[in-house]
Amino acid sequence: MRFTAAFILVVCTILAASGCGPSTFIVSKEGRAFYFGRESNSIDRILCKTGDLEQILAETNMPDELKKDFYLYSCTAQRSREKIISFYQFLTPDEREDLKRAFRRYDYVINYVPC
Amino acid sequence: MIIKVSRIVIAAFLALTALAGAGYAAEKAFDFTLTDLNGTPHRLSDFQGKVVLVNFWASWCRECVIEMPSLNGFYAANKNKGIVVLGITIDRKIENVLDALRKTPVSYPVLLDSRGDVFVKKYTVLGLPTTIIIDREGNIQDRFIGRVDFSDKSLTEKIQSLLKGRNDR
Repeated sequence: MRFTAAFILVVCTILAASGCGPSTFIVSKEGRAFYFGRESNSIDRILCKTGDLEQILAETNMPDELKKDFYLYSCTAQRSREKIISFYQFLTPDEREDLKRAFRRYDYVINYVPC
Repeated sequence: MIIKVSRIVIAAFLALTALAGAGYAAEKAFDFTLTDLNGTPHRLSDFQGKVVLVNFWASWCRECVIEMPSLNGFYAANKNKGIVVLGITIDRKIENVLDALRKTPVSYPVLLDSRGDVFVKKYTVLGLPTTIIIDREGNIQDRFIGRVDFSDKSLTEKIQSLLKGRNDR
């Protein structure tokens, strides 16, 4: 299922403004957006099978264990929207910024909309 | 005829409701062992028989630090009544924890989960601060995401009822 990044962002903003639905963590590239941790061929093809996520994570300063967990909850059979949101909550503000910058270097934008 | 059918429908409804109730199972709290700031290990299951409040926090989380005096006050007032409070910080650097606790001291144990084993893998916490209330049988009774006022009457009544072994859920 395909969503445009703009559409998902609008929906998330409305949810956040209206006092809420579930928190949302999305990644977008070239106008297409995907939920982290969701079972999806598109995100698998673009982010996982290309090796992009591995390279992005390699460029962050996160401890190796955290890199492994992020990959595990995004690109493997253990992918999980809840786990990846929990993981993002676990990151310090500096680690989040570092992660966002690493994604940006590969033309991805990540957005977390809390609820 | 209509009355007979109505009775059957009502009986079936009541039977299904009873069955659904019998099938209800509270969520069991995952056991964990974490060390405190002195390196002393604390295991959740050691507190079985007590009501446990597990409070997840981080030094960088403003709301968490604002909440701590309220939780500490609650702990001071109830620690001798069978209530345990465990603060779990997800900070990576112990000096940040010590600095936060210098500014906002607490008397309950503060445990370190710097790898996220409890926060992400076991409890999949979705926001900070989060407080989980575990009853005397080790079942999760409530999860609060966001700052809680621990002097709130309905919350203290709920915890008191758990202490007495009643589950009002």
